[in-house]
Amino acid sequence: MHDLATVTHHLQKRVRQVISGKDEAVRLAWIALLCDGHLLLEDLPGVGKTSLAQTLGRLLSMEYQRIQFTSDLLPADILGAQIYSRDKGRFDFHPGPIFTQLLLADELNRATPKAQSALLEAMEERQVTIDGEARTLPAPFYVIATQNPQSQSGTYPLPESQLDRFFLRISLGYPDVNSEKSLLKGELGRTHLLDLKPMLSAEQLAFYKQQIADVKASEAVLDYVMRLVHKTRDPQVCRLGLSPRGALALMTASRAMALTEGRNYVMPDDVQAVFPAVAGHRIQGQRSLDSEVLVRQVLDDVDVIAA
Amino acid sequence: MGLRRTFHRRVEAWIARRLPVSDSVTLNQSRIFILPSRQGMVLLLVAFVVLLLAINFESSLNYALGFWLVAMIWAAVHFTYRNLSGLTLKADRASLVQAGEAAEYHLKLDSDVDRYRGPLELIHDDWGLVTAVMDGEETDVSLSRETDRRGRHPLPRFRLESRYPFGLVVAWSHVELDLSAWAYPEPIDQDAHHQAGSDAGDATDDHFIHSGSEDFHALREYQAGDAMHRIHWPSFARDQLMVKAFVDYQAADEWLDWANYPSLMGEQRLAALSWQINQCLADDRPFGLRLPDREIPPGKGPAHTEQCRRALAEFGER
Amino acid sequence: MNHYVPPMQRALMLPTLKVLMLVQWVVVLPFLRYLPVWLGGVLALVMVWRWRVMHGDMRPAPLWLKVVSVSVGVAGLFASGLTSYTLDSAVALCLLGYLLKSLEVLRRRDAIFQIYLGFFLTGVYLLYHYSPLGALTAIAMLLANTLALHAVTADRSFEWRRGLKYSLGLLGSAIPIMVIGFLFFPRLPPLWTIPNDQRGAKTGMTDELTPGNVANLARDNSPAFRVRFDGERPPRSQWYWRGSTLGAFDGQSWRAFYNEQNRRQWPRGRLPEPTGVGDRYDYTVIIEASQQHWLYFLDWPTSVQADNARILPDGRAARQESLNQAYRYRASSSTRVDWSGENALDWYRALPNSGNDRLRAWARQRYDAVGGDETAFVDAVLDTIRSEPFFYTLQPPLYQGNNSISDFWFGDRRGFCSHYASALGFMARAVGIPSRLVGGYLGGVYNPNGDFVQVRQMEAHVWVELWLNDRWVRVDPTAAVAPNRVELNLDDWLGEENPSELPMGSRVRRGLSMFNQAGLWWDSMQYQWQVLVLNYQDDSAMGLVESHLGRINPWQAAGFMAAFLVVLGVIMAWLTGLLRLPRRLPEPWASLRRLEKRLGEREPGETVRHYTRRKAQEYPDQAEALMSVTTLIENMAYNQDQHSKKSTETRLRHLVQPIKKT
Repeated sequence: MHDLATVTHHLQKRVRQVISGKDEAVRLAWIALLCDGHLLLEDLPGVGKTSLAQTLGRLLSMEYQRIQFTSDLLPADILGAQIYSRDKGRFDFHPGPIFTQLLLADELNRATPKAQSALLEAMEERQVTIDGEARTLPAPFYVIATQNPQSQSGTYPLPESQLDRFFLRISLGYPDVNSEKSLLKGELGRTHLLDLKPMLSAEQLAFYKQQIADVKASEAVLDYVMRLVHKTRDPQVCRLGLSPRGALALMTASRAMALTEGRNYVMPDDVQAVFPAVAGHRIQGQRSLDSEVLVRQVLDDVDVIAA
Repeated sequence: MGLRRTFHRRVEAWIARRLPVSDSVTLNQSRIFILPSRQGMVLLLVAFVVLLLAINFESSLNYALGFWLVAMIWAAVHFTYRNLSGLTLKADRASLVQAGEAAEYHLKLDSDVDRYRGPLELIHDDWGLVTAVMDGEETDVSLSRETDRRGRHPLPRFRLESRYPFGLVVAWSHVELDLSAWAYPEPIDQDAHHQAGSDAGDATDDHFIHSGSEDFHALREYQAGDAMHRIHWPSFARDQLMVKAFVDYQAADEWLDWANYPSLMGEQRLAALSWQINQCLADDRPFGLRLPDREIPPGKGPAHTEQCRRALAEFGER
Repeated sequence: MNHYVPPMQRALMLPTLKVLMLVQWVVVLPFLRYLPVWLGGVLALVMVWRWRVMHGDMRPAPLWLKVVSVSVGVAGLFASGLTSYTLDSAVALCLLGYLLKSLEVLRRRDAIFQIYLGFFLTGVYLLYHYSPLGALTAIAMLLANTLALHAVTADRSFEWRRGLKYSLGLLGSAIPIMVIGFLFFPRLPPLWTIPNDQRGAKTGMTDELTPGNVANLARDNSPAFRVRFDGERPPRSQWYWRGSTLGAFDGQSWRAFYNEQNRRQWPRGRLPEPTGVGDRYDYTVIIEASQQHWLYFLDWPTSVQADNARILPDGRAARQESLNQAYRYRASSSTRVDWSGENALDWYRALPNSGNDRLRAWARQRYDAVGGDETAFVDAVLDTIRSEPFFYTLQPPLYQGNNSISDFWFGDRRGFCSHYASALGFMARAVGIPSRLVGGYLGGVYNPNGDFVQVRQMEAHVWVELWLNDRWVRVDPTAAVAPNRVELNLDDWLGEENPSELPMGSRVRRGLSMFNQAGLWWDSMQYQWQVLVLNYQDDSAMGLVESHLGRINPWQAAGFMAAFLVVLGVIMAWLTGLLRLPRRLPEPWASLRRLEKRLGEREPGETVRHYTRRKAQEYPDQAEALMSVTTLIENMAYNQDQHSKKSTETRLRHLVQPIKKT
């Protein structure tokens, strides 16, 4: 079996057949999956969010479903419902699209809070309750949600507490010139999706997942992480700081990052690489700073090495 | 004078930098200042006189006594330092009062060790001296301070001081907590003609109807996704699939509206609204509050009243 | 609204007042013995006032009461004879102030004043009492005042148990610093002197001897001094401890040539020390405070090592300052001394022209009978004492007037050492033999527990020295009348010969051997106390200081004190975190810091890798070295599997060494 660094490399190479120039985003998405975490993609429509989700699902041989969130979406549309079947004369359960391994929740913030929370609760508990009956979701269960930028009209912003449930938030951004050119030429894109062959089985994925816990984190790194976390809790910097769950996510993601780099110990570089994705959606600045700027400011202000 | 003020400002800035504001402060060595008190300096003088006795009368035991006194001051530093060290002050809550009344700030003193810390003195010009005796792991302190105007009244930076147990040294820290009391405007009865329209005439007996869950209202057609427990089984027997629909009722309410007082200046409008709230309370009428940046739906009860008053207090301050 | 009252102006609470009253008792009680009785009246007045205050009458004492009590008190001091500027009167005044001050103790400031005065009085008490018991009393006073200090500060939250815990804790934790100060602070010479410094009565032999006053000493059981010999002890019969030499006789009493009154006329400069020609003994003496000047030696002294002390020509050693503390010195003695330097023989022949005429004639007659042989004359006189009915007793009749010696010799013939010595000295002078009396002690008790000889006041003795065959010869006429007295201590001797004359204490001690053992143990403990505490002299430290600075003056003393406090303060600041000592960075951070110094600062948010990459772009020819340093630093800091840490550190330092700006 290959080590995780090699696997990551291969994975990136394969994804490049569909979306190119997004290696770091792909790596972060991959990390989120490795850490059993849900992913929030925040970007403009049409930059390849859906493609990325589909590609990952295919490469990891996972069952894939997609829900387009709209303002009239009801919880039952996500979860499924007991539907009266006239021929049989009884109620049958019709599972919703959520019963899958990889769920792409497109434009999550277009739906009403009620519909949002139905999904978010399922994400947290990995089971859904319909008419008093609990139904377990398949394992693994990942949600890749996409979100339009908050400023766009007709959106219901996700509440802060819900955002915390997403392990990472990344944005893809516009493709670079070469990639976009290839896209126009038809060398890239969703048409190639069908050519992709699954790369990892569920067992193999599980094997890599369990390695993450064994990655060492020295005192020096833990101290650095704590300094970062404390900085985000400083009321002069942030209105809303990183929660303990967020801190834990930061550490787990850093570990996974180290592994994908082929190391079995964490370095501050790993922490810095995942910090924007982990903290960007969890903290809020005192002034209405863009979260990217705020995260950058925190990273720049906190000394990597204890003074 | 200018020089002195500059110096003072520098010191303040230095303290502010060294002791930033948050809603909880744990006193540690970077926050605690400690020096011999004047009383301690005088004891030093006494020790010196005793040493003079020792030298002049060649009295060996007086050397011991003299140094014992000096060492006592030294040891007292640790005793007093321990009183403050590891102490956490937490902002608990602050009251909402009418402008002109005294606002209360509640702090929690917290300690990770169960230690008697003697009387701790919280000193500020506004309340003089408040003493908190800390015996154990937690205690509450409340500080009160006059409010002179409507709005936000942050807890000022105060001095926390301990001289216990011997008064030979004084340990202190300047504590600033992120805790604000709010004062809502003093109610003033504005003449009726200031009001643009009278609410009284408009009052209707109509019921506001919201779809809700309190009362059964009607049956409607089943839609996919309706919960099973809402299905109306008697109609099901008639082979109709109906669902029970519920509604919430609300009484007709009075809106206390900022826009009702076009002829008044901002603060006066707030004072008028404050007076109106009192009127509604006196008559036990439900009321809602409408401010330019905020709307509180009609309601009743202490929580609602507080919410409205708080909205008046916070108006324009947030 | 509470107004802020500065701590010093806060009113005292009832429990505090109670503690203060109790503490006042604790401070005043040890002094009661020394105070005029009427001061007890002042104490009572103060207590009544305190009582009123404690029961709600919180008013300061009216002016008239203060004026009256102060003037009555001061008048009382004068009336009690404490008029002159002496320590005793200063102490009495101080106590009066201490008592009267409490008339107006209402606020914290007054209480602090009372407590601090209490600390000072503790020091004063130690001037009078320096025994272990005195020290314990002082500790009790110290504790009481500390407790009061706590009570004043704790105010209404005062509790006895907690207060005691804190006070004992404070005193206890202060002990190490106290011991350091005590051990290393140089002992300075007195800065000024207080005239007539008389703490307690003078004890021991005096400058002046009138037969009769030695008998008082015989009833005194307290120790006079203790001696520890370096090597072998001299035989018991040689334990003649020499104190004052009384060379001047005025017909009634014998006086020392060099005494308190003519201190300024004592020989100055370096005096030649006597040369010993017999067996030599080296020893250390610790003498109790005697308020006198002379030091005691084994007969005869040859050298003394003590501050400002010298051996005077009349064969005794004195110190410039009087002994108001137990004092330790080293000395050596010899059984025989070379007296060739003696040049004052005429003084020792001087007699008044008249008085004791009958004895004078009797001596002349005896002298002629032995044909002018001086030695034979002395033997004849001693023979007379042996053969005629002379008695040795501590309760002789009173012999007075110009013919007192004659009255003794021909009259009652009852007396003790000073009577016999005085008679022999007189007779020798009457026939022209130079003679002088020596006051000192005879005998002593060897304490095997502490290996020292303890000499008590009751061992006081007087003997005669006669100039025979060109040297001073010790003649003890007491040996003629009571031969055993030389071998036995006075109480032992009396116990055998005349128990009714024994002092009370000795009688009890003799009765119970257990007491005797306990007594020996107690003596031994006191000896150790004196050696270890009272006479602590850090000779080496003192020597070092003095060799650099010469003699220490008050300014230097203050300087020492200040330096000591500064050092304490710095330690204190460090312990409380006000002062941070620069820490040595551990590797790999130290190497990284070195890199930063050479190549420029690292931004706070930059990781090691970012930093070295940036620097590698700036200085491309260092890129390779920087890369390997980076890997090593990262490995050391974040990969904790590093074995052989020392060698890795060395490797890192070697790698960092050549990296420079180019």
